[in-house]
Amino acid sequence: MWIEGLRTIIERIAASLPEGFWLQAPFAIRALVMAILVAIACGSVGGLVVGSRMAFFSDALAHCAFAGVTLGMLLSLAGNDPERDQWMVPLVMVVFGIIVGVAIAFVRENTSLASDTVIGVFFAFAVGFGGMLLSTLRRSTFLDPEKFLFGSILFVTETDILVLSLMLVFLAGVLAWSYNFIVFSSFSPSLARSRGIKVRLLNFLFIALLALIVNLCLRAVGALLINAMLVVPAATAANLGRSARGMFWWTMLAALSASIGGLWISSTVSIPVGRGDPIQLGPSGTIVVLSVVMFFCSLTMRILRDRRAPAAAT
Amino acid sequence: MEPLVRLDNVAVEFRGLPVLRGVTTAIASGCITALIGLNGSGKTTLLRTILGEVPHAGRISFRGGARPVTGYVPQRLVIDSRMPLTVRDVFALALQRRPIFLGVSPAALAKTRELLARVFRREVEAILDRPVDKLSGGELQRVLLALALEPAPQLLLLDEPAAGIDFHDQDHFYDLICRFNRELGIAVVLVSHDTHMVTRHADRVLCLKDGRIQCEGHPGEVLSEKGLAAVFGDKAAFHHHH
Repeated sequence: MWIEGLRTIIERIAASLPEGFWLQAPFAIRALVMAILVAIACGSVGGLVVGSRMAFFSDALAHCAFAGVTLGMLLSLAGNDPERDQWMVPLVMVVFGIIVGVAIAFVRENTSLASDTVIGVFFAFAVGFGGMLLSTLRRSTFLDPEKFLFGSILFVTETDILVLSLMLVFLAGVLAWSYNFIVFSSFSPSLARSRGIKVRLLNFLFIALLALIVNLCLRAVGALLINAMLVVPAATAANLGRSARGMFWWTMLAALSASIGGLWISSTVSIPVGRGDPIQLGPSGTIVVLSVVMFFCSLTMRILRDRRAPAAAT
Repeated sequence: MEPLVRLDNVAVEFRGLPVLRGVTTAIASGCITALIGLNGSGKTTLLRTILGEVPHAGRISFRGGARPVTGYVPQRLVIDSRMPLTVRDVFALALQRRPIFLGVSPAALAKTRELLARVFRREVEAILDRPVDKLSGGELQRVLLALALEPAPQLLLLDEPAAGIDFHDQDHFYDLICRFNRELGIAVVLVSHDTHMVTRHADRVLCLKDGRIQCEGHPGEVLSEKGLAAVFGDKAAFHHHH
């Protein structure tokens, strides 16, 4: 019922827009809504990822989705119900991502191995496992390998939007409760523990949350680019923000601007080449490139600011 | 008066290696206890064990049964966060339930000002918006001390609180601890390498060597040349003048 309602609303909006406007087709509106939702999801935790030095970790989670989706496809091929694939594959991906994330944290905590070594091993396993069973992905009607790697924001459905919206409500609730604790733990775990904050529990919770976000946003942005959405806007914000609050809102602004701007550019700009049709830009790639351009602009601004006011910066 | 914390035969091992062995002692309210000893003698582990961070054998009991409200000032805090955190932010993170991205609540800000005023003489407003990773060693330690005062602690644990800060700041810092100890009757346990400061400010000294209590008592007795030689060996002279 909700899906039907959402579809009707999107179709009405599309029909009301002027001829030739970039959002005139329902698929373009769905893509825009999805881009906004992904930006909010990634923007709200991006600062925590960068603040806790978890960029490589979240990248590993994105690549683990490769193994997760392959496993999901394998399980779904055991049955013969394409309808079931629609929910079974994402569910397996999410659960697998959470298990891998928690496993990385557990191994890291209980061995003397360096954090990046542990992450690298799981990373290798995920990509190896996915590569080993790549043929299952080729049989998939649910997701083809290229769309998995680079996303397919123009093909998202009302169901995808609804699922991500529900996840955002859940995310808002969890962050309202735990955001301060997570930031305080990243500031100093021992100080946080001395104040009764359950640092270990929060660490696992954050990892599970990250796995959920990565896997649910993957459809739109792709496994190779989702980490950029988590890390780059927050890195931009770290250059511009002067407080924890400032960093959060700069991250959100950078993520939303890159998502909406990137989608607009990819929808309206094409590059003429000598022969054949002009080249169309891939939406998720354009979003990420725009995000990186914004990062370098922010970096330049920061360098200029620090030079102008060395006393304030040091 | 019954001690606030009592340790009975407390032992700690890290990966099979003993770090604390059969530590039995008591910590009284209103008293400043200094833990001294060479690096690796188990001072920080003992502090973290009292804090409840380290699994241990033996028994740690508290007056009244419940763990006392404990303030903690860590050793030369390494700020690992890549987030731009101001002093105001750090207090808000600890004092308010409202997520920090929605701003600092007026109540938390008022409390922050009140706490900072207890450790800084005048410059409270100036320090509020300074990034924590740009504070000097002395300023950071005072900020952490102020943070440790809320909720009002019965036990204050300080791990080499004055390491890496200049002499003037050290002196001021120890004066502050003594003031809180006197005014609020807090039990203070601090790890220190500096026998001069310990002699001036501590009521009681606990010397650790290889995870065992080598000696304990009044600084005047324990920090005699003979006592120091037993704990520090040939490094005693250095520590005495440090």
